[in-house]
Amino acid sequence: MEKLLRIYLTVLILFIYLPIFSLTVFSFNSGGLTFPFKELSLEWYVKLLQSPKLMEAVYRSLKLALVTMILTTVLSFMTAYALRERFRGRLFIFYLFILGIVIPGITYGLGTALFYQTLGIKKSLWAALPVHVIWTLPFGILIMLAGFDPKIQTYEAAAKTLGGNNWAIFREILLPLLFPTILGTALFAFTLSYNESERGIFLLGTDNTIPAEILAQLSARATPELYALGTLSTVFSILLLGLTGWLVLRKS
Amino acid sequence: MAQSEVIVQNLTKKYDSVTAVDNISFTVEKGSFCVLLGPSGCGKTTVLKIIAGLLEPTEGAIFIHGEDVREVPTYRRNISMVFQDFALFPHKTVEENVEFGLRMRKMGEAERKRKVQAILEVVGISELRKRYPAQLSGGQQQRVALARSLVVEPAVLLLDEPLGSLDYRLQKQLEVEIKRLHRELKMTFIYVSHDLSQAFAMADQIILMNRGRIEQMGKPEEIYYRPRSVFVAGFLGDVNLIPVQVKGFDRNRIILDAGVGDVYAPQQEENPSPGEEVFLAVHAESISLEREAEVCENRLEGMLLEEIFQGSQIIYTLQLKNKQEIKVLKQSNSGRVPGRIGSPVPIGWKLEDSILLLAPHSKRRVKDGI
Repeated sequence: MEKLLRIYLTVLILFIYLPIFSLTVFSFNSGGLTFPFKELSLEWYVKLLQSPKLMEAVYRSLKLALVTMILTTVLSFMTAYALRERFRGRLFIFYLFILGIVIPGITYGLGTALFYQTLGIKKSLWAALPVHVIWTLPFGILIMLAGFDPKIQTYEAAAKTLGGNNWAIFREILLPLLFPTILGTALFAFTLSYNESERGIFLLGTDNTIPAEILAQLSARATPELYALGTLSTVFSILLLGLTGWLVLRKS
Repeated sequence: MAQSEVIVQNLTKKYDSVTAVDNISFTVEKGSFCVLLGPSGCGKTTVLKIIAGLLEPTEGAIFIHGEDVREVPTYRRNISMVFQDFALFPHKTVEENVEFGLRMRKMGEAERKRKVQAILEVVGISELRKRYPAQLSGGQQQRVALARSLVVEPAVLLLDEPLGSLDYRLQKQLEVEIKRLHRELKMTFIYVSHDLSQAFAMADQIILMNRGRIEQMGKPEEIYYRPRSVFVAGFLGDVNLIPVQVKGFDRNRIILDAGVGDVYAPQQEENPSPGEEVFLAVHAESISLEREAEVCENRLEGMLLEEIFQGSQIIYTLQLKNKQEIKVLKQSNSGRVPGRIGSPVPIGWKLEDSILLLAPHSKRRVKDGI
C-alpha cells in the first residue's frame, strides 16, 4: 500500500513539474524546439532581450503588477481591519469581496470590456488595473484576516488604555506585528497580477502585458524565446511565492 | 466627605437579545480600592471595559474625575488598564513596554527614562528591562503589566482579573503587593475578580454582581456578615442556607419551621408573613456543637458525616434528619469533637446569628459561586 502511494506521488509530481522542466530544458537548446537536444546555449535568452515587443510587455506587466500590489495591500489591510468588528452585513460584505475568486475570469473580463465600451473608456494598460485589483483583493483579504491574530486586538486595547491614538497604534503595534503578513500579501498580489491574462486581455488594447503577448505570439507559432521567458517567469514567481509562504507561515 | 472618582449611572449593555449589564449604578471614591466581584458571565468585565471606553454602553453614563466621558475616546480618558493575559507588546522590550504610555503623552526622553527606572524598581524588576515578554515568567510579566499601567499615573487604574492566570502561591504574593502599591500610590483602583478571598483581602468596597445586576455592595465585612440575598449568601461559600417556613411571632422573634424542628430569627423592620417560604443563612463558624450548643436559642440535631482537619481549623459536615447538610467551622485548638462519624450531635446557634433572607431570587441553593 505504501509502495503504491509512493508511485502515485511520483507520477503526480512528474505530471505537475515535467512540463516546466521540458520548457526549461528546451530554452537552453540551441536547436530550438526540435528533438533531439543539440547543445547548451543561451542563444534564446539573448534573443529574448533583443525582442522589443517582449521586453516592452515585460515592462508593462511589472508596472501594472506594482500598482496592483500597492492598491491590493492597502485595501486588503483596511478591509481585514474592518471585518474584525461585529457589524450588520459583515458576512455579506465579506462574501461580496471573495466573489472575485469564483467568477470565471474570462466572463468577468468580457463583461468589463462591454461596460467600458458603454462608458466610452479607452482600452489601455491602466484600464486593466481595476480588474487586476478585484482579482487579487480577495486573496489579499484572506491572507490579512489570517494574520490578524485575536491577540492583536488585546494589544490594541492595551495601547489605547495607555493613551495611544489610532495612528500611534497603527505605527507602533499593527505595522510591526503584521509586517510579515503585509509583505506576504504584497508579494502574492504582485505574482497574481503579473501572471494574470484572461481578465485583462480584452481591456489592454495594444498594451499587451506579458501573458497577453505570449498568447498573441503563440497563436502564430511557438518560438524558443518564449521558452526562455517562461523559464525566467517561473523561477521569479516561485521565488516570490516561496518568500510569501515563508513570511506568512513563519509565525505559526 | 471623600471625592467621587468614578460614577457609573444607570449603565446598561445589550448584545442583540442578551443583556450583559442591566441598569447598574455605583460610585467609587477617590483613592479607594473597589472590587467588582461575581461569577463568570455576570457582566463585571463588561462594566470595566465600558469605564475604559473599550466598549460602548447601550444606555447610561460614566463620569471620571467629574467629567462625563461618553464622548471621550479611551486614549484621552485618564485611566490605564491591566489585562488578564497581560497583553504585553511582544515586539517591545520590558523597558519599551513600560515607556509606551509616557511616549504617547509626549514626555521628554530624560524624564521618561527616570520614571521607567523608578517604577521598575517599585515593582522589583529593574534587572529585566532589556528582556522581551516571551523571556519572562508569568509573575514577571504581571509585574511588567502593572508597571506599564502605573507609570502613566492614571486617575483610575482598571485591573481585569490580573492574577487569574498565575498559580495560587504567586497570586497570594501579588495580592499583597498590589494592595501595598495601592496604599503607597494613593490611586483609585477598580479590580475585577471572581475570587471572593481576593476581594476580601484587597477591597475597600465590594460590588457583587450577578446576571448583569448588582446583588449587594459595601465593605467586605458588610458583605460577609450581612448578606442580603440567597445568591450573596451562597457566593460566600461558608454560609449554610436552610429553607424554612414562617410559622409565627413571639416577643422579638420570628418562629420558623425548618422541617426538623423550630428555629428562630430576630424580627425585621419588614417581617415576612406567616406561611411564607424563606431562607435562613447561618455562618459555618457561628454554629456550636455538643455541650456549647445546648445553651443556644436555636437547637437542632444532626448526624456527623465528615470531619476534615485543615491545620488551623476543622470542617465538620453534619446532616439533619431531612438530609439538609450543615457545615461547621471550628478552630482546631478549641477542642475537637470526638470523631464519632455517624453518631448524633447537638447543633446550636445564637438568635442574632440567624440571617433571614426575605426575597430569594431562586429557591435553589446557589452553587454557581466560586
